[in-house]
Amino acid sequence: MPPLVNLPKEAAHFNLALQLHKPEHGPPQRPPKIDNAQARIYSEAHLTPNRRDTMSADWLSNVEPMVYKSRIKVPYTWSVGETGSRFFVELRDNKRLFGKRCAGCNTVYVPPRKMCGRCFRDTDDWVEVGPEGTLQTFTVVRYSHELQPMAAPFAYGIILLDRASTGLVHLIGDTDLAALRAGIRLAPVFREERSGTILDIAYFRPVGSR
Amino acid sequence: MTERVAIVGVGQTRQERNKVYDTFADMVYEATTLALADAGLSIDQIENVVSASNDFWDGRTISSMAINDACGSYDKNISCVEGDGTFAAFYGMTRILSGAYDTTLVVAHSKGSESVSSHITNAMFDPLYVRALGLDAISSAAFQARRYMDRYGVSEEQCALVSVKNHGNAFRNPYAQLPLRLTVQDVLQSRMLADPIKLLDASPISDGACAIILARESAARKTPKPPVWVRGVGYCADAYHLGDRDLAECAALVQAARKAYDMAGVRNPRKQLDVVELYDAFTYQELLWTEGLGLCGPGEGGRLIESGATQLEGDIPVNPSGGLLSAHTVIAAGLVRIAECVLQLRGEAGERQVKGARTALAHGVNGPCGQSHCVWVLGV
Amino acid sequence: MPNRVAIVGTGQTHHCTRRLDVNGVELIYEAVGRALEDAELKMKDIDGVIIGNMDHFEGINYVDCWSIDGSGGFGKPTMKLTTGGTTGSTLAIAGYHMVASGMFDKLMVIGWEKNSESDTTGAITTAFDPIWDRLVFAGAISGLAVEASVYMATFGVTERDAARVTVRDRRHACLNPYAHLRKEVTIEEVMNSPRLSDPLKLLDLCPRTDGACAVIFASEHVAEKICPKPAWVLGTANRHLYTYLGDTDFVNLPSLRRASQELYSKTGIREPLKQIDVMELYLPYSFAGLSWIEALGLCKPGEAPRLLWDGVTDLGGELPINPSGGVISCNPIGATGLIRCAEAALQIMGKADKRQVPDVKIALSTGFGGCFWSDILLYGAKKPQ
Repeated sequence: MPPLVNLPKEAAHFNLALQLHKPEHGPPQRPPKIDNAQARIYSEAHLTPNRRDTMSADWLSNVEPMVYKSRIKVPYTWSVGETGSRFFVELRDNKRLFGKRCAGCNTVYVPPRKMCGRCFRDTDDWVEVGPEGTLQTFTVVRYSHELQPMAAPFAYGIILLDRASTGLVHLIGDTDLAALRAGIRLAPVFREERSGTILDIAYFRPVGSR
Repeated sequence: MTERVAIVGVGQTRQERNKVYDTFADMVYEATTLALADAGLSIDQIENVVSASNDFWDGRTISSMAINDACGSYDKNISCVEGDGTFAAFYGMTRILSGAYDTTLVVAHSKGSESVSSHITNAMFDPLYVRALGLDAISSAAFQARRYMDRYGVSEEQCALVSVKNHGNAFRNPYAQLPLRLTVQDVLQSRMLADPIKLLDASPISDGACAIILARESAARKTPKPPVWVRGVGYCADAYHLGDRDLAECAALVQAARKAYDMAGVRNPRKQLDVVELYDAFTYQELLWTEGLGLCGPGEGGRLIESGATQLEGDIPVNPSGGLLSAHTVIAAGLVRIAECVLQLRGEAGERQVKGARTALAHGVNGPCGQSHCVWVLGV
Repeated sequence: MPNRVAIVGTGQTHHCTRRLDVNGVELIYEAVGRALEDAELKMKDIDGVIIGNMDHFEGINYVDCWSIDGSGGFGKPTMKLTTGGTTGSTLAIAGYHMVASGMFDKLMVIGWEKNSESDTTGAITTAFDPIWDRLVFAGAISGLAVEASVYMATFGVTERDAARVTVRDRRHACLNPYAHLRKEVTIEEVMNSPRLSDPLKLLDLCPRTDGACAVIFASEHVAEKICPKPAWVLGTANRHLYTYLGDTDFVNLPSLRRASQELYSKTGIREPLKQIDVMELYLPYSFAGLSWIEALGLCKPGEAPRLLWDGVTDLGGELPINPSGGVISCNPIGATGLIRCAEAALQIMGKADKRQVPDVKIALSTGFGGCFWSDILLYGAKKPQ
């Protein structure tokens, strides 16, 4: 029995990224009119039909709906701040990972924070974390858009590095995607050339358990 | 609450994949005029306006500027909340309770068709640690779905039931974008986006606007239709970094709901609520939020939907409108939930009417993986 | 009965061109911490948070969610408001209504901007309608230049008259440790500064600044316990009149005229020049300091230069304007309108140090932004009836 859902048509309703910016095929469909019986029920009950259905449509049928395609270009340079800078410098120069601990609630934050949002106070000491960690949750991404650093299918994970209290979001690579499970152990794979960004870690990959 | 506030008018445009004939202003004007007609008010009787829009989704900074004329705010006091419409409605309500105004128009809009959603939602993640990874709304939701399902043993089939129900309910809602007759198999076989979220587990791209009119009691009593009273409202935010929380929990929703329930005198939501419109951006979210709202215990959302209780004929119908799975105008979606509840409580919900509904709950969400929740309890 | 509302604490960062040592969340944390310190409160005492900035200056979507560690919003009701340049005053107005409603006893209101991180003109250009306005109009300066030209042509006001506004604000800023630009300038220096968009020159305009401001609004039930001399909010009003630039009426800022008329009639102000003791005005450029005080009813249209040259609006004059140095000395856009509110409150509370105007009973602050929009608030030392 063929599926009742005509997927290419329905898929158009979903994430445009899946379509990779393909333009509409053919002229856009005008919304269907509500028929008179429905219109009566709805206007009595509360609803009025879509105003376009009730407008004198002569001139409207000659209107070509124009679409102006553009981009907004607003370049950014985010200040990392001293706390984040230390994290990225250690990552770039020494391939070491650090979290920052709040003595108030004993949370070791990764990524490190200058302040603890729960206690609303400055965090205290730096704690070296990882490099290995445990996978908390993950997903295998099977669609593509231009912001992704890897080609689909690929995996993301939230990794609780050893000695950290909070998980780090990153990519999982060099792995059998079908074998991914929460609870497995992972280790970071550092890039040869590092510049002080989160992608100095190319990805995390599964390792044998301790 | 210091005095009673009611919703006296609601208006929504149809939610569609691509309203190429409409600008933001056109949609807002349509929703506003419908709400005014519904309330039996003229624009002059609206004393102030709170709009809701998002600069990223609209591709313009000061997104409220695009629709100021269209919501009748010329020469009025006006403000703008950047977040889901449920939050804007809260602020709109406080502008009445502050004694300043008798009526507030709240209007929200969004056109998903005009932007690339993966880019827009990627921008909600931390620019230093997460954005470069290319995470977006779908992949982050997949984290939460996986964690939720792992922790409680919720199955993909149970999630699929949400899609079957809500897309089916959409046939009874002329405003909903995507009515579909589905089976669980259809959902399970639909294209995998990011494990475990498949195409039919996700909400669509939508265009639309929604408006509601709030009024203090003395003004509400003068409008033609029975007022729908705000019995309770609460909102609350959780931690931001996804790894800071156990994504299988929704502490912020629990807290927001508790505030709303306390104000409304709801001690047993499963029994005291007659209909629930919640923010089902993905199928797993309906299950998780029914738990956070106390309609069932933690981890029991899957069993709740299997029981049939959340069907239109069940004892706690959830999303008779079709929910976000059938139409997801970001920013407006929560306000649409409020509007749908108002129609239910007035007995004007047509074929999706829950019989005898007297108390309803509307729910909106802001931020990734349900970081921030706003809960409304309405009653007649 | 609605609650009466007062400001019980304020905090600002030391505003400057570029804060490389902190990211946005940390900048916010600084201002919030200072406000708590000023009010002698802890974050657990605060019932909710509202925050705002202009999104495209920082490139962060859902700032209320992203900033949660630094805003104190974790586990609390948190919301974002934004209306462009008026964001700061929109937040102040929201702080008032949210607390007056009885839904909050103590609310943290935060405005911030890290302008150094982005291309200001590139971002502001996106404010305008992409089909009709954006392609033919660039940034904020051109619109203000048109307004200035119209004002000069209508009333014969000169560029030197406008320069006197800059001289005043920049002189005042030297007394404000938080202000961004703390160096006096002369009329000649303004007149000789590079011409950007006739008749506007560099020193007629405000800078781009990194900064954050936090203000704690409290209900009458707790305000006087927290603060010996809180600044009571007597009224608010605003008008965001225009959507398209071509619709704008460029004479005497109608949005400010109408908003102030509403505010004055609600609060019993009949002679603002006499009855108001200090004003913190959102003047993003020099000519505004003339044309817009006419809109506020301080004098007849065209007569503002006289008030400036007579020193009426200087510290020590009858109605000091911008003792903080105003926007021309400091402009972290999302915070700017809220800084006007904080500075007005400081004047009432008697905490304005070297820039204190003696014996302030009534203060006023405004916000400006968008398509020639205006917000306005009035504050008093005496608890309103």
